[in-house]
Amino acid sequence: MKLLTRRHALGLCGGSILSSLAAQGALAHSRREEGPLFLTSATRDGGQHGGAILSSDGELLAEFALPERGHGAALRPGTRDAVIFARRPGTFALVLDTGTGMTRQLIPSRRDRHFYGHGCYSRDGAILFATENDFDGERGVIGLYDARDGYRRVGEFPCHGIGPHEMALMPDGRTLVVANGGILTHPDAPRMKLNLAEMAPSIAFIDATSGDLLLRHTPPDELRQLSLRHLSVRGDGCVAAVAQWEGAVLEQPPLIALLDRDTGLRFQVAPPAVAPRMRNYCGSVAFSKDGERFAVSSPRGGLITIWGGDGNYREAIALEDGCGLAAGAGGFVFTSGRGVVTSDGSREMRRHEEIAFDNHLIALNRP
Amino acid sequence: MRGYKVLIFSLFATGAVNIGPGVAAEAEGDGAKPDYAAIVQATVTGHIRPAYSRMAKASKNLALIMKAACRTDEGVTTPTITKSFMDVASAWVSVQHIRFGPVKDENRYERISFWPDPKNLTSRQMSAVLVKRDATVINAETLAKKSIALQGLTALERLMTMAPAEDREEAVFRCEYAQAITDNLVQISSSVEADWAADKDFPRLLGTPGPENPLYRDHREAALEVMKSLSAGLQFLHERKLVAPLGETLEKARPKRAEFWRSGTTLDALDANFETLMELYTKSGISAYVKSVDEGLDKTLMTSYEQALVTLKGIEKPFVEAATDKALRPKMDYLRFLAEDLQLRSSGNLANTLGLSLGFNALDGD
Repeated sequence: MKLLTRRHALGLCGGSILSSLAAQGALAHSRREEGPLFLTSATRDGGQHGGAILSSDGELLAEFALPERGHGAALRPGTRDAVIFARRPGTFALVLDTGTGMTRQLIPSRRDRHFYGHGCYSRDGAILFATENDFDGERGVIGLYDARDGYRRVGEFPCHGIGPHEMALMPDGRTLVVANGGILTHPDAPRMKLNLAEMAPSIAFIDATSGDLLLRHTPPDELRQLSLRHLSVRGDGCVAAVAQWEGAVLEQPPLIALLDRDTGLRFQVAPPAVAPRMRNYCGSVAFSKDGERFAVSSPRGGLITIWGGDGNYREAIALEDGCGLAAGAGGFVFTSGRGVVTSDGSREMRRHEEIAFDNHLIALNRP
Repeated sequence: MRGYKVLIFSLFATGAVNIGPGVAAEAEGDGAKPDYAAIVQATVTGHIRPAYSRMAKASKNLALIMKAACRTDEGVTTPTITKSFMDVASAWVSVQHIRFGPVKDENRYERISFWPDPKNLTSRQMSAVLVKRDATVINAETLAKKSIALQGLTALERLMTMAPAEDREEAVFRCEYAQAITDNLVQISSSVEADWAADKDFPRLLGTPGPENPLYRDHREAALEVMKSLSAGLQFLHERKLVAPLGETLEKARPKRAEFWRSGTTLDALDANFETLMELYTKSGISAYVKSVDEGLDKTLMTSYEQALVTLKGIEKPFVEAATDKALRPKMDYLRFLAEDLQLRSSGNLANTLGLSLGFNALDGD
């Protein structure tokens, strides 16, 4: 199926952008097969940005267009709606019904804010929280959108740091956990890092109703150039946070940490033979369903590492440009920028020509 | 780094990486592949080292001239200083696309030139230190620890183009600050030059990839750095240096978004930029390889570079004026078109031909 061009997508936003054929395909599939479906941003033929819905065994069930390159996504609890955020410094988030492919809503960012690419919903699905950049104020914020009222922006919280990236709701349903990468950027200098010498990364726990800072954990000073950008939360409140190192290339800092709200970062290291293959760069992290393991992708090194729930290194799997990962029925499902979908269970690989799967993958509810 | 730091030397002593079985990295494309090791080697010896060496030399020259001018109370705006600033700016632009290796250490890249600076940090921070006569900026050693916005060419360019000092004391302070900046530039650029020497860690690792090498597992991965430099360099040139200041139309031009507009050296810098990317393309041996497998592609790329250089020579007004000059605007738009065309062809067709397609997820921090 062919993706719509960007111009078409922009013109059609607010209407259906997933072809009805694709939607029917996804629905037919969902009735037929077992295992969760997955949602990811993707780019086709080197330039047409959109998203894709995948089956557990890597079948491409549906594709849809996005105005620009997408990044992270979140599922609205109790529904089959999902939101995909534009890649930073993007200015839209798109809500779609993953069952029919209908676009529900295109959420534009405020003029003086841009999205960072991640967000999450409140437990009841009423509020969407999005990490955003208040670029003139040089601070990160969390935008609040009322999902019951057309995603009206109803307020914002400070994120208590600079460069917020991935964010999740803690199992208590009342606390947000945010990975503040610590890097100052501005949309007029896209992707230029304005403060590498004075970086201040942190993991912040924030009250989801008041926006108050509950606790914030920062790496020790010698690791202040460790940009903590992605995280995954386990049912018991344990958080796995992964980083990208902005310091000297020949240094090899730990890139992975476990923490709880009340305890600081406990850094974990891969064996000396594996650590350098991570190329000081982690792109995504996810706990397995049972919480006994978590997977970390290192796209620059073409490596996925699997860790025990206790933080001990378990194994590594080579996957060129592999970045997207999510818990599947049994183990993990991985995607790559070379169109590969694979898992740690079967190790079978499915490759889709001419499509590049973007950094993140999320599991969907069964429609 | 203390407890966390693991230097590469210890890694060489460890066993082979035990990874897999996993999913094998699939080969790209079919048929003949270039000699990746030769491309990396030629790039280092024929392009990177000479370019950093020019940068270090130009910085030293500027530092000497600055010192002399300050000694004789000539100030920081003499034609000689402007001329040698232009040399340093061009030399910097000639290595600006090399964003890997020693220049990444200690924030050297950003400290040499903090640009683009959309929030005007340079201006804001400089006003503060000038008003305060902050003594830490008039010494290269202490300046090196200050904000990156206060350290490099962007700050120096401002000092050189400010309204004249109100009194002698202020003039002396500015001169001392300018000297500290140039001394700091000498220090940074000499360190980068030295760290590219054959016996140093980074070039050694780049040239000897392998399973135990912490940075590069094979020559193809090392050659990807070259391809990334070319492609990202063209993208930066197109988006930041041409699209941003030129705007969609003449009416929407914002020429003060151009690099080095204050000193009127934008066009020289653009010339150096096209020149150095063409040099990377040819001196790396990439051009010769492409010529042997796809002569048409090589010819298109070479023609575009040459056209850009010829076009630049025909623009006889400073960039800021040319961007909004009805007669010259078509030339500016043509430059922008050439840069975009070079970028698209290089990241697409050229990268594929070389078997060096850029990783989609691996490219930039997200």
